[in-house]
Formats: sequence, structure tokens, C-alpha cells
Amino acid sequence: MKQFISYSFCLLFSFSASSQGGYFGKKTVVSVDGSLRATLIYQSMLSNYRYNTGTLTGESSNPVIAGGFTASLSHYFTKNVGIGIDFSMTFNQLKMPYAKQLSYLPDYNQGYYIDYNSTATIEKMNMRTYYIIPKFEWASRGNLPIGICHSIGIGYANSVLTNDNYRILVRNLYDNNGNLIPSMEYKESTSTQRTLHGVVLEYGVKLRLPVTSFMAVNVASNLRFHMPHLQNLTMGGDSEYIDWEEDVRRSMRTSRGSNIMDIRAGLSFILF
Amino acid sequence: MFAFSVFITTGQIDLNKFTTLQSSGKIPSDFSALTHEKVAGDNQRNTNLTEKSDEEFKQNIHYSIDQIIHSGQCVYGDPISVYVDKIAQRLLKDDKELYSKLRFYTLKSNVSNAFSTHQGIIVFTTGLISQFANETQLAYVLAHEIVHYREEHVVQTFEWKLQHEYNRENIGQFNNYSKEKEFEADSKAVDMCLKAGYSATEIYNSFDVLMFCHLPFDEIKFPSDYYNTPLFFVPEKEFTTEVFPIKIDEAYDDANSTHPNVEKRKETIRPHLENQFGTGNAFVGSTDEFTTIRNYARFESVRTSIIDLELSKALYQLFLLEKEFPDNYALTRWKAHTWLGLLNAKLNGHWTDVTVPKQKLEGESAVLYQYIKKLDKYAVSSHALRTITDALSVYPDSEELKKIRSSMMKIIAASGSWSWTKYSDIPFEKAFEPKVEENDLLVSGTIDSTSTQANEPLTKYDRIKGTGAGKSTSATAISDSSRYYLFGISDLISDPSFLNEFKGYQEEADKLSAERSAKKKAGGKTAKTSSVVGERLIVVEPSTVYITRQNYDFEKTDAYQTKLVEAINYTAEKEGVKLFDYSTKSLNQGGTDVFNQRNTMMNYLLQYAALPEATHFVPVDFELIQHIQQKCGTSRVLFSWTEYYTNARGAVASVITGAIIPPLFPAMLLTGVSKYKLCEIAFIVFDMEEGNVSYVQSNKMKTSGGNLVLKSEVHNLFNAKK
Repeated sequence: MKQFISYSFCLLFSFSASSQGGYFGKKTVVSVDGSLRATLIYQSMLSNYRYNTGTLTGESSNPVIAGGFTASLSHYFTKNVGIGIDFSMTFNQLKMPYAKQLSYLPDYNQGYYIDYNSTATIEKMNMRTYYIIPKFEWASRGNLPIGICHSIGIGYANSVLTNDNYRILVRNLYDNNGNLIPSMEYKESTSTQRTLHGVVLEYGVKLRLPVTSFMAVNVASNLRFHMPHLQNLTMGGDSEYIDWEEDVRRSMRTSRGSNIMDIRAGLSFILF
Repeated sequence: MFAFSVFITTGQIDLNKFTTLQSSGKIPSDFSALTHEKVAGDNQRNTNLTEKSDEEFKQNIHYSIDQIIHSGQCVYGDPISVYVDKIAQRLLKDDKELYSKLRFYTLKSNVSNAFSTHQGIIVFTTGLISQFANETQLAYVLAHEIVHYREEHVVQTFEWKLQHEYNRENIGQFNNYSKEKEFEADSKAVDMCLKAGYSATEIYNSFDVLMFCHLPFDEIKFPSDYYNTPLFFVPEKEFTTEVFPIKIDEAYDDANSTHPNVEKRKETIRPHLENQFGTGNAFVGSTDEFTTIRNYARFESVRTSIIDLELSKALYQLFLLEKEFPDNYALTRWKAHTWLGLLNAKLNGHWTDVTVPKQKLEGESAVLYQYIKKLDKYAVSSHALRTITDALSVYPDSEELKKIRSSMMKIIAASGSWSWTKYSDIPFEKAFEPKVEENDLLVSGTIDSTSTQANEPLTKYDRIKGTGAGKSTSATAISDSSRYYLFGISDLISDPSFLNEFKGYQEEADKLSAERSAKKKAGGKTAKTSSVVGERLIVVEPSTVYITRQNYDFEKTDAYQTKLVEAINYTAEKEGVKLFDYSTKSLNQGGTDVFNQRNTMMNYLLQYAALPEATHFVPVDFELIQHIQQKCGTSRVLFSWTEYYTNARGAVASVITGAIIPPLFPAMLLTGVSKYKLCEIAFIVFDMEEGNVSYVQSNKMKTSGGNLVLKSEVHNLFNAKK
């Protein structure tokens, strides 16, 4: 123990302290991660939203998971502080409201009407979101680039729908004569509003476990807060008129913004 | 080259060349094996303990002794250990089997202590040996420790703690139990000693050692003319006349102690001695041999005082030893070291670290302690310059004294505006000639030899108890100068070459200071070109501690220590650095020579660490360090330190936070995982030539610090530039 005390004292009054830092002297890292995003919040917020599975039988489903990839480049100035930039892409599915909430469904003027028995499901919409997020990284008692690392960043998000036309299946609607029409399918286009821009604020924790002198396994979790966030969430149905494009945008925002947490795993290459 | 080959053929040490006690002979496995190897190899089953408790017991006993054995202060096969072994043979002449189970080692420490372990190791400190008045006292303490071992008191105490669920509530009960064991050891040791022919009176007096071992190893009045030389004069009035009585209370309160007070112990052994007083001999063996061994311990005590920065105590010990060894080179060196240390402390604002507070003053040494305490910086400088200059004039070829002088000049030069004009270029006696009576002037010789002879038959304990009265000569007080020290270096002040030399040191100090300022301004971004480790590096035993759930994990400690050594070896090979390995692992190959050298370097670190301001440091083991430097071809030494521990509370707190805020759960889980294991890895590179730390790398990390982390840290060290 006396020896430890000696060492402590040496460290205390030594004025020549300096450290090269880095992992084997290297401080710049490229990481590639796959991410998974559970859609629990999305599901709970829009419990009566669904999409059809693409068949005309009316089977519907909910999105369960979303995922994507992230590539990031980081440089650490010391063992505790660094900067980085994330390039990531995530994929997820949108779900739309049921028939009675859809004001743009075929209506009386077109020779049809819907009542409380009517349902409508819209084909699954695939959305792809790109992120570019510069970030500040830090670790208390860190050993960067390996070990635990916290990050906070603010960046740009761009979401697009991967297709243009979507099938809508309406069931149990009636013609103007009161005859039941079991099902009817038609298509809507999203060509005029396919892109949703936004600002994203991100906080993340990443644990890099070294496996060689130049490579580490990553495990991470990130929280992303999107702006603008969940606007007009309660609108729709009979209260206000919302057109198809508006509803799609609303669903895109809701989907992107509601599932704030992901988990990631991947590899880091500690370059120089 | 053979400066530390101080053993002469008879096994005695030439005290003139004394450096420190060195181990000799074959290295015992107690010193070369790692703790977990000892535990694994300990097949002795303590039947009263459960298997689990037995395992815990073994871990405890081996870990405890290894802390001491690997401290760099413990030696084997040295003259003191050999002597204690000889006394043990005498005590156990009828019990060869018991004797064969014992090993004897010496611990360089000024704490007066002796202890035995369950493994059969008996350790005496040099501080205790230095306090004994005769062989009987040593034999009695040794017999006491042998009884502890023979009666298996260590395991019994452990068992008691288990049975009674030892805690704060029953600490009093435990102390009583422990006292019973002490009484048993005291009583049975008496019988053992009497049987071996030792003096009953001196056995009884052994407790005086216990009572007064906090005092220096002798009680001699410090003469007020001690520092007087033809060129230096200290008026008598500078020394206090206040008396600091030694407290004698044998019946002190021992309620909170595991050991009974002296009065009770004396009462316990008295019936065993009742009819024996007057029988036996204080010395069964040779008196000279005992005195020689005690002198080694006393010399070692001075060295230890300097390392521990007990500089006032060192001066008093030097005074005591100089009476017997007036022209001893080792004592001269140490005196120079002591004044260098005092100068360093005074000029760098750490004076209270090296002086003794008034409430601790006791006995004759108090006079010197008081005198030292009130010295101002010019007085300390004057003393240091006088002592070191005079030492060098007696030993002009001493590299060590030259180094000390150079360091002294650098320390003074670096202390800011220093004016020699404060000092007088005429000696004290001329300056104050009209006011000094003829008889008051310098007393030739610093110590009156007649008083020494008169005191010789008396022991320290006789003097404390008033059975003798120390005498010393003293000069009459000179009342008109409290600035006497300004006249103490008149020869140097009037020497232009000295002043020119100092000017050179001052210019060097100014240049160094300017360089440091420039470096600071540049934010450390000045060009760094040379490697901090160089092409050759001495590596001393890494210190490792692994604590799991607040318990020391000796197995992981050894494992991580080995990992670090391997990481250093791996990186050195990769980077083409030649290593000189002084770790425990290397002892099996290197043997006692390597062990001694390792101890020397560990002591170097201890001495360095004790200094609050370690500038221009000169190690007390200068010659030994020089030898190691020559042998290894480098002055750079790596000391490393790793500490691992778990932080379960922090980890659980993070996970609970995650559970309360579900979206944060994965992030908090990761944070918790990283918090669970923490480590600190530190490297210190010393440059023994420069006498300073040339590089420090220390990282506290949230990681388990496995192989790759260790290798990374070592890689960074080997690639660091300065």
C-alpha cells in the first residue's frame, strides 16, 4: 500500500505529466453499425392505424420493427473529448387511418357512401430517412476511442417514400342505392409530396469493445428528437378536412418522430 | 564499482561504507512466488475451519505478508536476519522441528515492531533492533513471536472472529481475547528464555523497550556546541532550556488495544520470574556481535529517517552515532543528505513537513528539534552550506557529495532573488570578539569525549528512569547575536570563485525558468522529439490491486500484474527497446542480486515520493543507484501502477434510471455496464541521472482494462515523446 501512496504522490506533484492518448496512439475512427428501432411508441400512439399487407383480402398489419445503417467518422482530441459525424439511413413503414377517419375516401358525390361498418386500409408505405448529424462526443474517465462514449449532435433529416402510387382498399361501402359493395380498390399518388425535411437532435451512448489493435465491436443506443414533431396528431375524421397528401405527411412525421430510440451494433475501425 | 560490496569475509559490514542492509543467499520462495501461487501451494489444512473459511484464511495470511515482503523494505539473509536466526536456534535448541519451520526476515522501518505469521515467518524491524539494550531483550521478543506461531494464535484469532461474527459491537470482547493470547505468549516466552540461559531481570526490562520505543534509540543530552567548528558558531542561547519530560505511564488505558498495557504484562510474567531474578545472562552469545547487529540497525534507521523525511530525527540519530563513529563516511553522507532535504523543504515552503510539532516533543531530542524548527531560510542555508562544504573537504573524491553540493547550489539558485550580501565575510569570532569571553569561544571538537565515556555503561532506559545523568559540555551563552548563522560561511563569501560558481547556477536556473515559461505559453506544443523511454529501460515491479465488491482479489491482482508485465515485454520487443526487468517474476532467474536492485529502486521511489517538492533530488542510495545505471546502461526507470475495482452501485443506479425512463433503458444499460468495471493505469518514468520524473501517463478509465487496453497504454508510453 505504501507503494501506491508513493505513486499517488508522484502523480500529484509531477509537472511533466502528458499523455499521447488514443488507442495504440490512434484517435480517428470509422464505425459501421446496423440499427434496430422498435416501434412501440408508434404503435401505442396510433393504435387504430394500420396498413394492408398488399393483398385484396383486406388483411392488415402493424409495423413492428424498423432498421437501418449508420456510418460515422470520429476524431478524438483527448481520451475524453472528440467530434464526429454520423451518416445514417433508416427504413420504416407508415400506417394510415381507417376508413371512417379518411375524409378523402370515395363519397356520396361520386356515387358511394361509407358508414360505420366501412373500413379502408391503405397499402404499406415504405419510408427511407437520411440523416447527417455532426456531433460532439465525450466520456468521463474515458479511454476514447474505445470504451464508453456519450454523444450529442444536431443535424439534418430527410425522409422520402420509396414508391409513388398506393392502393387503397375500401370494404363495406354502399352505392347511392344502398347496395352493399363488399370491396373496392383504387390508387392514390404521393408524387407531389414525397419528401419531408427536418432537424434532428440526437443523444447517443456507444460502447466500443476492442478486439484487435485496430478494430472494436460496437454496441450503442441513440435517442433522436425530430423537429417539426407530431403536429395535427388529433386532426382528421369529421372534424377537419385533411387531404390525402396532408395525411401522408402527417403519418410520415408521426412515424419518424415517435420512435425515438434505437439500438445498434457494428464494428469500428481505428485508423490513425 | 564495488562500492556496495560492503560485506567482508566474516559477514560483517564495514560501517564506513554502509549503504543499506542487503539480502544475501538463495532467494526464498516467500519472496519469489506470487500470492496466488502461495495460496495454491499451501496444503496445510486448518481442521477447525470449514473448507471455505480455510481458503479465506489462507488468502488473508498470504496477502498480508506479501504486502510487506514485496514492499522493497523487507530483506532476507542480511546480518540482522542471520543473527535473529542464531538466537532462535539458541531458544529452540531442544525443539529442532519447530525451529526448522521458521524463517526470519528484517523489515527496514523505524516503527518498532516484530511479528510472526501463521506460515512461520518472523519479521523484526530495524527500528526495534536499534532499541534493544541487550541480547536478552531481543531473545524475549523473539520467543514471544515463536510462541504465537507455536500456539497457532493467528488461526485461533481468525476462528474467534468467525465464531463471534466480529464487528464493532464485540470489538471489546475481541480485544480481551487478543490480550489473553498476548499474556500466554509473554508467559511461555519467559520460560523459553530462562531455559536458554537469559537474564530474568533483562526479560522483565524488555517492556521498557515497548514503553520508550517511540523515542530515538538513545537518550543523550544534545550539546549546544555540537555545530561549532572553527568556522561556524551557534550561541548556546539558541538551544532551549525548557525540559520536555518523558511520559512514563505503564498503566495506560488499553481498552481499545489488542495488546495489554505494560503494567499488566509485567504483572503476568512476574510470577514466572519471581525466584529467577539475578539468574541468567544479559548476553548468552557475544556482546560484540549483538552490538554490531544493533549498529547495523541504527545505521539503517538513519537512512530510513531520511527516506521518510523525518529529518530532525535523522539529525539526532546522526548525533548519537557520531559519538561512536566520529569520522564515518556513511554518517557524513547522510548528514549532507539531511541538510539538503532541510534546505529543500525550507526554500520550497514545506518546512512543517520536516520539523516536529511542539506537542510531540519529549526527551533530550526535543532540544535539537526545537532548534531546527526555528531556523530561518538563511540559517538553514548556512548550515547546509557549512555541512556539505566541510563534508566534501574531507571526502573530495566522493561523487555523491559532489552531487549533493551541486543540488544544493541549484536549489538555492532556483529559490529566487538570493543575496549573499546578507552573509558576513568575516567569521563570528572576529565579528563579536569584544563581547565574547575567552572561555565562551569555540570548544575544540564538537563533543566532549569524557562525557561519552561516563555515559557508556548506562542504557537509554537507565537514563530515562533517572538511574544515570547524561553530561555534556556546553559553551557559555553569547547574548548579542541571534544572527550567528550569517557568519558561518565567511570563507565561502570571501571566495570569488564560489560566488562566480553560484552565478553560473543562477544563470542556469533563470534559463530553465524561461524555458518553462515559454513551454507553458506555447501550451505544451513545443517540438517533442526524443522518446521518453529511450533505447533501454529499467522496469520495476508493477503495483497492481484488483478489488471486487470492496474485497481484495489476490488472484486477479496477480493475473493483471502478470498481464501488465507481458504487455510491457511485448511492446518493448516490438519497439526494439531493451528491458531490464525487476518484477517478481524475474526474481526466479535473477535471484538475490536482482532482488536487492529492485529494492533499491523501490526505495528510490519512496524517498522521491516523500518529498513535497522533489527538485534536484539526490537519492540516499546514490552509490547503489549509480551501479544499477552503469549495469543497465540507462538512467530511465519505469514504475507502473494499475488499480481495478468494481462499482456495482453506480452500475445499478444507471440501470434503475433506464427502467424508470424506458426509452433510455438501452443507453443506461450500456452506461451501467461500462461503469461496473473501472481501472486506473499509470506509468511514471524517472530519470535517475536528472533526479526527476521525466514522464507521467495516468488514465482512469471505465473499462475492465484487459490485455488490449494494457497494450494500448504501454504502446502510448513507448511512443511518447518529450
